[in-house]
Parts: sequence; C-alpha cells; structure tokens
Amino acid sequence: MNRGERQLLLSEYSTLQELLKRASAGDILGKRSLESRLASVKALLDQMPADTRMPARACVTFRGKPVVGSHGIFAEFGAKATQLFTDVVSKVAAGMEGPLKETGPVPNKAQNQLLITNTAIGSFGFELEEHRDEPLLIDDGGVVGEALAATLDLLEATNLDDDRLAEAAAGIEDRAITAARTFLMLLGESDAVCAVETRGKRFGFSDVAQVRRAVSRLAKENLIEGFANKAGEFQGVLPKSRTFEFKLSGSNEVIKGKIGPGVANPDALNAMLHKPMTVVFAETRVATGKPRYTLNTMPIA
Amino acid sequence: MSSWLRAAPPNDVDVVTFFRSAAGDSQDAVLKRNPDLFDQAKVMQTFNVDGYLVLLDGDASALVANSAYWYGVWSHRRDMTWKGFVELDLTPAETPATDLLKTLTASGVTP
Repeated sequence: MNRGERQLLLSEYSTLQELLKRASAGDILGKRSLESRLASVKALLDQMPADTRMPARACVTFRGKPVVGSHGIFAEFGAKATQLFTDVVSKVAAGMEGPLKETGPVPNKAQNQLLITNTAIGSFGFELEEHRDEPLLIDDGGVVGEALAATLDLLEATNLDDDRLAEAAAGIEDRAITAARTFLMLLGESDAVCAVETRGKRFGFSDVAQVRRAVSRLAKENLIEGFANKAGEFQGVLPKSRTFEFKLSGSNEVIKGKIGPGVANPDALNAMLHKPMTVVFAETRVATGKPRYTLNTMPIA
Repeated sequence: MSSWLRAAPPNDVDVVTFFRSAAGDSQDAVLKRNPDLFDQAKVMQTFNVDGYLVLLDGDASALVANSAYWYGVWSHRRDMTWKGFVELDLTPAETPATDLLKTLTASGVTP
C-alpha cells in the first residue's frame, strides 16, 4: 500500500462524509449504505502508516526500427533497452547514496529497483515505478526519484552545450555515465530513439543522429572526470540543496558546486566558513568547457 | 461483469439499488421488517453481494453526487481498464430482470 492508494482512500473518505452530510434525515437506508462504506474505507486507512509517500514514476518510450508504431516493440530490443535504462537509474541512485566502485555489485540495487507497471500510451514504451516490499516512507529520501530526474537531465544535456553537460554530469559517478552511454549505444545501433518523462519533465531524442552524438559526448575522452586541489575558503553552504561556494585564494574567483554523498553532514561545513584551507574537489569537464566541481570528502580545516 | 469477460469466477457482485419508497410505506418501516437485508456485512456474507442503496426521491443534487460517487467506485478495475454495468429495472413483478437473466443464460453465461 503506497501513498497513491492512501490518497485515493482519503479522497473517498471525505467524499463519503460529504454525501452523508447531504443525505436527508428520512433517508435511513441511503445513510446506512454510506456509513457502512465509510467504515470499510476507514478500516483500510487504519491499516496504513500515514508517513508513506508516492512511488517515483517514469515513462520511457521508444521509436524507430525496433518499434511498430504504438502497436508493439520487438521483445529482444524492448527487454534489453529497459534493462539498460534501469541499470543507469540504479547506478545513478547508488552513486547518490555513497561512492560507487568501478566494478562489482551495485550497492542497494534491490531497493532501487523499478517495476514495469504498464505500457506507455503514444509511442511504444513502458511506465516504470519505484518498488519496495515495505511501505515507501517520506523520510527515506526517495533516491530513485532523484536518480530518475538526474538520468533525464543527463540525457537531455547530451543535446546541450558543454557547460550544461558538465553541470548535469557533475556528481554522477563514472560507472553510471558509462551505463548511460551503453544504453544510448544500444539505441544508436538499433536505429531507435527514446523519450523519458518523470516529475512532469520530458526529454526525447528527435532522431538517431542525435542519439549517436550523445554516445560520443558521454565518451571518456570528451567527458573528463578527475580531481583538483584548490586553495581558498568556503563562503557559504546550503545543506539541504547540498551546494557550496568556495573563493579561491589570491583571486576573486568563486567556484560553485555540489556536495556529494561522501559528505554525510553538509551543515558541518558552515563551521569552516572563511577559514583558509586546501580542498580536493571532483572535477567534471566536457571537452574544453568550464569545469564543474563536486565535494565528495569532508575537508580538514 | 468484468469477471465474466475474463472467464474467471467472481467472488461477489457489486450492486447499487436506486429505490423509491412505496406510497404509504416508510424507510424506517422497511428496515424494521427485514433488518438483515439492509446490513451490508450480512448481505455480503449471506449472498456475496456488496450492496448499497440510493434514494431516488430525495434531493436531486444529492442523487447526482451519489451517482457520480458509485460510478467512480466501480467504473474501472485497479489497472484502470473499464468495467461494465448491467442495469436491471426491478419492478414488483421483476419481469425485466427475469427476462435479462434468460438472455444471459442463452448466451452461455452462468449468472
């Protein structure tokens, strides 16, 4: 039972209360019906924890050679493409929760699984939904939803300028970028394109050439990730949005960036403001574009 | 209805009865004559009928709100595919209902 079902029941509960208010005093049988229905709905609500949330959802559709309009999709391509897409999401999610090693099992893969819940209307594809056996709680972070949004942003940014691509890729682990590239390679090799929709935002590749360009732009030679030692001082930190400003020594240049999952308590950085230090940032750069920085380890003041 | 289309045996039948009080009778008197017939849990247990009642003679806006509610409750399955309704006109003689049941039986459906 998730928040969606709970919301539906709450809505039904308030509708029944309203219908009871409108029933005339003499309508004894009608009121008995509504009261028994209200009791059933209340019994269901009582079984549910109140702090559940909606599962993250996304719609992934495909067009091109392996897709027959809105009638069907070749099973081999559909299964492989969906598996590779979910692999990207689980790796992006794992990277958000902690460092992701270059090889080996993906941490928390079981809890970052996506369920196919329906076929998508329009071009052929699938509706995907976050799934856990236990209720989805509000305070469990909703990392799958964040990972779906970050995956959509990354795919979209392959079609934007170098700075925007570096921005979208900053904070996403190398292994997840490679997974995204593998997914796009399958599309390119199969003469297919995809569109992804989540949290009310949508991006779709317009043609296969765009997909193939995206594969090149996510290549390690183009999307360069490394580390940079920077001397300076923190100017400010936003612990909830996990962003920082860091002024470089000997200049007025201020770099802004994201705070990665390696820093468990970003608020602690606020105790280090305006203190000179040298910090190691993860640096993401596309071709000769402007680098983007991510702080993955707590600096020592 | 959807269970018939899926050729799966239904566990129950959902029924909303839109009724009028007979002249000279009252809902209170009807209830006292046969209280078990108006106890949803007992009706479900005895007849496998998830049954509810809506008054036709009352306030028109309440009738519209009730109709919209019950339509919303049973017009779709959980996966949002449409479900159908069968409308039976229950006169005291119940002739239309009997005729419809005969038609369904003739078309191979076991009511």
